[in-house]
Amino acid sequence: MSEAARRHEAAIEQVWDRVRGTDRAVVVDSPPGAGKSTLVRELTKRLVAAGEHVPVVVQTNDQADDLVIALAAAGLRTGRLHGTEWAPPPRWPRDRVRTGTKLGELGGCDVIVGTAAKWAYVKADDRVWPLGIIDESYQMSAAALVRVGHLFDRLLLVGDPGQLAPFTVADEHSVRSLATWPLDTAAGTVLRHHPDTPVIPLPVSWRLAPHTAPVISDAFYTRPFRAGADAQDRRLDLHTLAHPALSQAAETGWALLELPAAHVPRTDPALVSVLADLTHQLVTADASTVDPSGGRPLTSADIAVGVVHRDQKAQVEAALQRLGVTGVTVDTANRLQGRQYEVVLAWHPLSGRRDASAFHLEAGRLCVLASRHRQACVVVTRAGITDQLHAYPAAEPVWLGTDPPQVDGWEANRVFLDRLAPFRV
Amino acid sequence: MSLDVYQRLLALQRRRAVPAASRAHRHLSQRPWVLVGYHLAGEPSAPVAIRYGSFRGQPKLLVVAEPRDRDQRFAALGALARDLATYVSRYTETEPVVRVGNGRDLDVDHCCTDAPQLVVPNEATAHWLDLLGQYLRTLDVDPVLQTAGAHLGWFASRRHLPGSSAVLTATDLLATHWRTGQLPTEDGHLGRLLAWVEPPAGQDAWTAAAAAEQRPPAGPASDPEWDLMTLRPALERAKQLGDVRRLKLAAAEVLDQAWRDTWTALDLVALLPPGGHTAQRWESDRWSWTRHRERVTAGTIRFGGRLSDVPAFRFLHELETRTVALERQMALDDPLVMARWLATGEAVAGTVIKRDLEHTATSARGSALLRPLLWLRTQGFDRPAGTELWLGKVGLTVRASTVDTVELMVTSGAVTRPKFNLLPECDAEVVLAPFGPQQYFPDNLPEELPWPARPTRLAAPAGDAEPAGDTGE
Repeated sequence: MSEAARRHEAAIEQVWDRVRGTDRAVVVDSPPGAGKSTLVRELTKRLVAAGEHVPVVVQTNDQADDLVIALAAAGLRTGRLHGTEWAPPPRWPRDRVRTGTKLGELGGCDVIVGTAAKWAYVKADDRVWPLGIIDESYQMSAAALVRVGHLFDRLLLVGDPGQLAPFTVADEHSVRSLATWPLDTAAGTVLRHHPDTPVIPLPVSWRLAPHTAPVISDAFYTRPFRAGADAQDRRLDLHTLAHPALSQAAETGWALLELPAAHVPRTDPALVSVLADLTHQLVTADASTVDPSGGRPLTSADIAVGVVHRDQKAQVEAALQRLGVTGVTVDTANRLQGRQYEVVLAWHPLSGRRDASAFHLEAGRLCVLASRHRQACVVVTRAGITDQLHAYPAAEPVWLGTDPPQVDGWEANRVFLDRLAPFRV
Repeated sequence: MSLDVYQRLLALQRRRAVPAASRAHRHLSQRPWVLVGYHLAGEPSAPVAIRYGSFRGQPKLLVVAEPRDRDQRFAALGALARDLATYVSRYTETEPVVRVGNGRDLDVDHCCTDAPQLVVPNEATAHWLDLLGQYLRTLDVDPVLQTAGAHLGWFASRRHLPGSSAVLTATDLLATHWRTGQLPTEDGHLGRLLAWVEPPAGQDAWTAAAAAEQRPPAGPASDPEWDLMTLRPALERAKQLGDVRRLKLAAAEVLDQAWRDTWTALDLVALLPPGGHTAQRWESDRWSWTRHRERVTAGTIRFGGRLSDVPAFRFLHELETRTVALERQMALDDPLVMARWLATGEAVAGTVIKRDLEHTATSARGSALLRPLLWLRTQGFDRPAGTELWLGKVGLTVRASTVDTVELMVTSGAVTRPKFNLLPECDAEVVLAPFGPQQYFPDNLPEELPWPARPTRLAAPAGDAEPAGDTGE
C-alpha cells in the first residue's frame, strides 16, 4: 500500500471511530476527489452491517443519482427518495433500487438517499434516525439544515470546504440585516453551535493528478492536500493533431487559453465558439484516457464544460448542438459541485468583465471549475484578468455576526492565475 | 445583450430618460401620506422641519425651534404622531374574506379594504423614518407617540419586501419605470432623476440635471450652506425671541422642491395603467396591515431589533418567494419588461407557422401520450434543445431549432383534446416566457430550531420576537 493510501485509510478509520463514538456531530473536510463518495459508501456499508438504517441527505438530484448508483453497485439495498418530476437517468440499476416520493414506498431499504429539499417535506411521523449522513455539507445552507435537522439524532457531515457558498435569489443586503445568517453552510452552522465537533480532514485527492493537485491546494485550501496517484499513472493521448491548448493540457494537465482582451457581454460569443470548438475537437480527436486500470477511448460523457451563468450554459449547449456534439455535460459551477470528469473546459468567471464583483471573485466558483477533472483542465478566458484584479478595489462590506470566508477570493484568483501562467497558450 | 444597458445608452443619446415599463408596478393609493423633511446635520433624532400630508395643496409643516431640546422635539413629534393616527384611522374598514382553512372547512376572515401608504422622496428619508419610529417606540413618553412609532415600525417592516407598496420612495418609483443615461448611484438624487424623466421644455436632461443639483436637496440631510446662511439665524431668532415665523418660512421654502418632486413622481407613474398583478400584491400589504392593526389594538405589538432564530429563516423564505414572484409578475404584466427577457434570449417571440395536434410521444411504460407540436418563426434563436418555455399555463420544450424556426413540443397544460383551445392558432403572434404558473411553497420551518443549529450548552434564545410584518396570505 502506498503512503497516500495508508494516510487515507487511517483517516477513514478515524472517522469510523468518531461515528461509533459519542460526538453528536462529526465533520469530514474533503478536498476535491478525496474519496468522499467512497467514504460515504464505506461507512454506510459498515453501519448497515451493524444493523442500522442510514438516511443520506445530498444537495442535487444529480448527486443523489450518482450516489444511489454507487451504493447499489456496492450491494446495498438502496432507496431513492425523489420529487414528482424526477426521472431515472440512463444506466439506472433497477433491480437493487427502490424509488418513491414517500418514505412508505421505500420499505426494506438499508439506505435512503434524497435531496435536502426533498427530505424537508418528508412526513416522518416523529421518526428520528440515530445517525444521518449529510453529503456536500458545505454546499448546503443553514436554511436547508434547520428544515431536516430534527430527523436525526446525530449527524455525519461530509463536504468540500472549497466549494461554492450557499446563495439566495433575495437581495443579500436585506438578509444580512438579520441577527442570524441563514445562508451559512450546514457544516459551518454545526461547527459554530457545537464548537467541540471533531473535524477530520481527508489528506489525499484521488481525482486530481500529481501535477494538478498542488495548484488547487495552494490557491483554494487552508488545509493542504496531495494527489494520491503517481506521476506516471495517468495519461491523456490525443491521436490526431489538436488545438495547442488541448495538446498542452494533455501533456501538463493545465492549459490557459487567452483570447484578446476585451470588455464583452456576459455571453461572449467568441468564448462560446472557442469552448464549443475545443469540445468538438476533443470528441473527434480519437483521444484515449489512460490510468492504472488501463486505457480506454475518451467519450463525450468524460467531458464537461463548466461555465458561470445559466445563459452561458444555454449558449454553449446550443453551439455544441449545432456542431453535432451530444452527451457532453455543460453546466454552471454551482451544478457541477461534487461531480467528476476526465477533461474539463472552464469559462473563467472574470473573463471579459470590467469589474471583479464578489460573485465573480468567489474562490469556490473558480475552485469548482478547476477541480472537476482527473486528467486535464483547459481554462478559457479573455486576457487581462491580472490587471482587472489589481484595478478593482476590494469594496465588499464586512458583515457582523458571520465568519469571513476561509479563503479570500481575490487572493485565490491571483494565486491561481500565477500558477497557471506557465501553461499559457 | 442586456436591454438595460441598451436603454441607458439610448437615454444618453436622446438626452432624456426612456421608459423601462409600460405598466405601473407599484400600487398607488388614492390618498398617500407624503412626507419630506430635514434633520439637524449629523443628528437623525433631531428633526428640524417636516412637511407632510395627504393633499398636495395643503401640506402641514412641523418645525422645532430648538431641535436639541427633547421637550420641544417631542411636542413637535406629538403633533406629527396625532396626524399620522388620524390618517391611518381611515383604514379600519374590513370586508369578510372566505378562505379554505384546515381540512376542507371554509374560514371567514376579515381584511382591511385598504391600507395606508407612506411616500417619501428617497431611500435616505425612508431610513430616517425607520429610525424615528424606533425612537418613538422606545422612549416611553406618550401612548400616542408610541402608537405612531408602531405604525412607522410597520412601514419599516414592509420596506424591504419585494413587491410591497406600503412605503414608496419617489426615486425608486421613477427608477423602476424609466432608465436614465446617468450612473445608477446618481439616480438616487430625486431632482436629477426627475430632470432626466421630465426635463423642462426646451432643456435636455444634462442641463436640467445640473440645474436640479443647484436646488435644495430632497433631505433628510440639508445643504450645509443653507444651514449656515438661513437655518442658523432662523433657529437663533426662534430661540431668543420665541418667534418661529422666520423658521417656518425658511423651512416651507426649502422643502417645497422635494414636496413637489415627490408628488410629480406619483403623477408620472399614475399615468401608466396598473400592472395586472399589482392589486394582488397590494392585497398582501392589506392583510399585513390588518394583522398589524389587530396587534396594535390588542396591545400585543412587539418589535425585535434584528430577527434571529426561526423568524430569520422565515424572513429569508418570504424574501426569496417574493423576489421570484415579483420578477415573474412584472414580466407577465408588462411587454416592456418582458422585452428584457426577449433581449437576453430567455423568452422567445414569434409567429406560429405550423401545428401538429396529433403528435404522440412514448411514455416510459411504452404507451402513447398526446404531445402536440408547434412550429414558430422567430429571429436569432440561440437556445439549446431541451429548453423549457411557457405560454400561460401551457408548458413547452424546444425539440429542434434553426436560426429562424423553433420546433416545440407541448409537455403540460394542453395535452388533452379539451385543452387544445389553449394552444395558439396558426399565424398567431406569441411570446413564450421562461415562467410557468406561479408556485407557492410553504416555508415548512419547524417551530423551533433543531439541535444542529442551536447552541448546546447555552439555553435556546427566546424566539418570540415576531416580525412586525406578516403577509397573512
